[in-house]
Amino acid sequence: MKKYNLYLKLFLLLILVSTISISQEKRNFTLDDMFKFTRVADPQISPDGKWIAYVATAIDKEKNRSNSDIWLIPSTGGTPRQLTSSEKADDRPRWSPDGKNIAFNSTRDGSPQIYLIDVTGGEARKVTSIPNGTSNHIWMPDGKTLIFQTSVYPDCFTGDWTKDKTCNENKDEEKSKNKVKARVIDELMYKHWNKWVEETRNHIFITSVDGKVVKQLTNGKFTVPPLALSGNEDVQISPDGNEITFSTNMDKDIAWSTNNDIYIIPTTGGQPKRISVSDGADVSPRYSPDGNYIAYRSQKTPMYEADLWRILLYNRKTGETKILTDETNFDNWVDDLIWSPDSKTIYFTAEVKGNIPIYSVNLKKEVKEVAGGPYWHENVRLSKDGKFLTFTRREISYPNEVYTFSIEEKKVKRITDVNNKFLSEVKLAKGEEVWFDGAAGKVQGWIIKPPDFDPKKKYPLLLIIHGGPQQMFGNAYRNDWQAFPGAGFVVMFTNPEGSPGYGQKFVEAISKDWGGNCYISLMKAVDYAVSLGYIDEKKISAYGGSFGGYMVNWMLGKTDRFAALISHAGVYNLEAMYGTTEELWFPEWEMGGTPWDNPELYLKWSPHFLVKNFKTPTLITHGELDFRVPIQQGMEIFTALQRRGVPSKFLWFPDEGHWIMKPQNNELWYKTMIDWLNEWGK
Amino acid sequence: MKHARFFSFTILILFIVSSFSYSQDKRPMEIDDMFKIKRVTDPQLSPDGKWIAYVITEVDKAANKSNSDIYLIPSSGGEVRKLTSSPTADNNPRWSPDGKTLAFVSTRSGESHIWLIDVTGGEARQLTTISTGASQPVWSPDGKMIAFVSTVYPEFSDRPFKEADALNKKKNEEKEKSKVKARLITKLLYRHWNAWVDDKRQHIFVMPVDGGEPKNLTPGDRDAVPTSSTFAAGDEFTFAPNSKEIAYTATPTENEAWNTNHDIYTVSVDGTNRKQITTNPAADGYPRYSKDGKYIAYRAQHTPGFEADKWDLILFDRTTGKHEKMTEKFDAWVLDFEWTDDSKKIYFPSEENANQKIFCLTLKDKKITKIIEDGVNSDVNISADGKLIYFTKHTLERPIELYSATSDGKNIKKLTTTNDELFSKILFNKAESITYTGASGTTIQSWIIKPPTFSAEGGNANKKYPLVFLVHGGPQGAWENGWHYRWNPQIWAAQGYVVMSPNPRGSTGFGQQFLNEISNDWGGKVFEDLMKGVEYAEKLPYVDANKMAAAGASYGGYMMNWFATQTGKFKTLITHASIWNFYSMYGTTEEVWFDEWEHGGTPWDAPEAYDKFSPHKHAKNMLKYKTPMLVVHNELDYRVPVTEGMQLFTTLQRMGIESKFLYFPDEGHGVLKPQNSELWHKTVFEWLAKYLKQ
Repeated sequence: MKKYNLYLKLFLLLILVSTISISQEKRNFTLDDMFKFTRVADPQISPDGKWIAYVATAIDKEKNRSNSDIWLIPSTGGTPRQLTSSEKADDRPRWSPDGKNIAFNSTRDGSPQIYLIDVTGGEARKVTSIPNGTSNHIWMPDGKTLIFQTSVYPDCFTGDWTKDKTCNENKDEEKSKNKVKARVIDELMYKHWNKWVEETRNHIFITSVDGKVVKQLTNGKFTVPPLALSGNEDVQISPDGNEITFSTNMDKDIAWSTNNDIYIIPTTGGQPKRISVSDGADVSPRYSPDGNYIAYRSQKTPMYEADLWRILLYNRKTGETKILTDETNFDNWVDDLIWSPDSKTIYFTAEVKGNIPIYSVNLKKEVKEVAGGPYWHENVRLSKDGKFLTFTRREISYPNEVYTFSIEEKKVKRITDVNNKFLSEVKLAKGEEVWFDGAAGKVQGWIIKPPDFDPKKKYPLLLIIHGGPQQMFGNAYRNDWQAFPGAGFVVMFTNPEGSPGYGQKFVEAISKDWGGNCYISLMKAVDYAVSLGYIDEKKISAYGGSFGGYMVNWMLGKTDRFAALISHAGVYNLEAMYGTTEELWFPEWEMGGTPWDNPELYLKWSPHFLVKNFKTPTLITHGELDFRVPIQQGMEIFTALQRRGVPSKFLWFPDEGHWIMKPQNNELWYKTMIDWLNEWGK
Repeated sequence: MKHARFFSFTILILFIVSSFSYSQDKRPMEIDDMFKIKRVTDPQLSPDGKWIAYVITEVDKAANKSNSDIYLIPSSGGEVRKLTSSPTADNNPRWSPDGKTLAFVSTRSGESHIWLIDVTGGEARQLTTISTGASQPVWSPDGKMIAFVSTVYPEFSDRPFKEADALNKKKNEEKEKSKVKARLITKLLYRHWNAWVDDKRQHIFVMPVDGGEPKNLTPGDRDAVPTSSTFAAGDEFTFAPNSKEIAYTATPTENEAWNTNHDIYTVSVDGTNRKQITTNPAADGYPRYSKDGKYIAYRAQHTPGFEADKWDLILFDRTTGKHEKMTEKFDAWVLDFEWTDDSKKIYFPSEENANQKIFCLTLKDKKITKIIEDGVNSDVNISADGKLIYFTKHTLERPIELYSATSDGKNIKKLTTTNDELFSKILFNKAESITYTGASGTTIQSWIIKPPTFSAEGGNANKKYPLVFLVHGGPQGAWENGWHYRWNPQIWAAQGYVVMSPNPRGSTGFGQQFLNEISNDWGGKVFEDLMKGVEYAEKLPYVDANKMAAAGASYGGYMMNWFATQTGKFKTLITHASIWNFYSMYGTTEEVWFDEWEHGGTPWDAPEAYDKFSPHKHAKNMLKYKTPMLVVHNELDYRVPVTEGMQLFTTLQRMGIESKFLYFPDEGHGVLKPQNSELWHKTVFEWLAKYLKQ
């Protein structure tokens, strides 16, 4: 009896405790939560180092759009102040050299234009009124002028912008009035990503800060920044303000060329001069503060978009170029570059083993890790005195916030907390890093369990496969890694063959072997998950987009192991894909040539020859404006599935490209995927 | 001898007359003339036989649209009276049995609805208000009801009309308002021709002519009219003579994308007593009651999945339930047909030897007599006493006009003069029908159209002209002695070219066996037939064998792509809405039965057939010939999706072969909008001139 009483008391106590905790307890992640957190990006340090301007973007699901505004916060942390508040997008804050103004981009009047706002107060004023809108503005060192890019008809160019502007406006008006919407196309790359390529090209302009004097600096059939493989900030001004460097591709046939090059041009205008020498892509030029060098990122191999990104150093005096990083001292892809104020060190980020740390390399080619950990460091900037960095940082269970990092003390400090409320309400799933035996060596992966995970239960598994194929999954906050666990699925994602971050050899392992070792490694990932004991082997599903969608299509033809499959924007018929995609270098590299010169691999790796094996219920999702993997790929596999009587549905977005971006479309996409998994994979 | 002299005298006179008229007022056809031509369609004889109602469609190029109106002409010919004049489309005039009223379809209220107009005067009034719109009005013989077609959501179709209509309206409005435009597709044939199906169905409704509620006679998840024009010969439903039931043609019950099994049903006008009349596993359609009520005549194919199978005429005896084939020995297709009022004869048009002729079938002996020969003849109307027939006719030299003849085909009389004035100014050469020997000794018919300036420039001896070789689509179609509004050989000839348009294997009108021989052999015997045609042309004294181009659309476009991989004969090729890759074509087209029949199965069951004749498999050969190509393809083409043209263009560009891609975002399989059509013609002719006139 006593014992009984004790148990009863304990029981009551437990109930009490759990009731209390329930009332404070966080809810599981629901689809609505995808639209509830705030995205922060593009932190910019004021010249005096005291302030950080950044962009915060909130989504309004009902209105089906997002709104970005610019905020200011002391770089030591504190209360943020909202600087702009239009209902449209305000972004790209750039401090004037004297630190008094911020030039930003805004769509408040329609097309994006440059605006100027005094940081001490007052309303923003419009700087530019450029017909097709502005992008990528940066300040000239004199603080009196800005350069930017806009798209113009090369034929309109006379050098006199007042005339050229009218010419551009007239052409646009003529076009919009014309009842004939036909296109007469006489070369490839007539569409790109999710847009048609018009006759216009992006070029570099300079404007006085009052917007009155505008001049076009480059003209021609090329476009700045380059259409494909652009770095970020591909246009830069020399420290003395006399020269501009930029990246573009001037090849005749850009549909099968990755040959972006670095050019220089006087700020007064003139013929661009090429300074890079690689036949591969050269992007992200950066002047050293002492003006001696232009550092840039460079790929060696033409037509190979996933080649190792190296840092090259161009000596402006001698014209010599030397390699600062390559496979000998840094065998992963160098991303964004920043010079130290003394021109002796370059800071850079790179994707490595699921993380994005910050590294430095000095002129002696010594590479060091500056900031690491299980995070993605992005939007990295350096203070003018070189003492601290700022960046946005995220991890699987924590969305982006703005941080500072003191270089000497190696101390990280979070200075924004835009998602405090969200984080206090919602349970975010955490990721567990795992390594398992892949097709040829260890492969890294992550497992994310549902928030209420009970080790005694069996769970359905969803394997998520990344695109690219040369892309990296890792320690980053993402909606899919919260939404599917929130719906009760154990999620596993991995970086099989082709993923960057594990040395260039591992990246190379995917090319010409699409359904080979990568497929084996993914199947071994599933074996590994099953070995953990809490996975229901009959309820394993896979989902992937782009190359991930290709892999799902391949799995459909290769195995009956999955209960359900979801293929988004997946490649299905490699020959038809070649003929309809825009960036031809990609299939040509991946399949070893054109389909007529080298048909073998197009036939070997194309899922459309495996139809007779199709049995697994499959959801196809695709956007009609997807010019990378055109929607006809999705149509073809859906036709085969339906014709074979395999349970299948096709979710078709007429107003989306390669990814589903609009909030309400995105919600329907996730809802349909989860419904599909609940029907077949749970 | 006397005769000979007489003839040469006549020829001399004719020659003088014709050169006189050329120099005086005749000129070759211009692109703009295409938009000045008025199109005459859908003649309907009044019950008393005194009037013909018909439609004239005129193009307004500047406004980039066309407008149809309804006209009346005395059946004996005479002055034309314009009956409707809304700036929107008025179509489908249908006489009330008492002859006092015309029902017609108009978009004047914004949506397509049925309107009624008193023939003797007064404004039209709207009959239907159903939220989903109405089309194809059909009168009951007692004049009390009108049946029509409306496109509705099947899930509401079992409910009472008002409720169902409100739910349809609500669903359409919600879709319209929603920011999400995504489609969740659960079965094939989700889009068709150039429009999305969106899980809607075409149902037949009947409603009292004096107003009142329509009744859905064909509820459920099935279309009550064929949704593919391949299986429709006109109004595919009709009332029984006693006005108590209708007969209609329903789409296949399952696997619609790869099944051609349309069947005929009857249902009482109160919606009860539905009966399936046909059980043939291939397509049946176009049911028509005999006036005495004894029979339903209909059209039937025999091979499931074969859309170009022979169409026979079958007589269904409503008393005995027997089906009797009436056209066993007739080796051509029965198109839309018409009973005589005495229920003893059926008139029908049918393609024969590159013309579409009118035939008459006598039921008692199954005897089939040719009544009208030349040109493309359709839309037969028969007077109540059976003594006169009325029909439309067009030829390679003249667009559609209305004609009458006595029931034996004699006393042909042209009733309308719609385009006479325009055509009095245009100089043509009459198309010549020639024959040559094709593959395995078969005779092939072809048209040759010389440039209008041919005679003025001295004829045969003096000048050699570039040749344009046109290949028709289908492939089961034909270049007929008819006026083409889009691929008009005369306008090509007017550019200064000799035009040759052959009817190789697969063409309709030359017997079913000849037609059958293209299936599974797309680049085989038909290719040989065509190349022999080119050889024939090369030998013509007036053809410059070094300046030949070829052009074609759809299957004709496929053949251009095949030419590109197989021959260097042509200076350039123009390929419109063409098939390039049989695999991707199969996976993206909507009427999957077509590809399965033509290539002998699915791509996974019959890959050899797909590989054999798919141009993309032979792409490498193009480097041998490097024939410059103009690729034309349109975004709303759901039959041959635009990605076929894109794949071809990518290949051409990547190979460095001269090529251009003309892309219309707002057109389907053909180019219809006036200004688009103008650009099409200009681009095509500029491209041709670049390679044939330099």
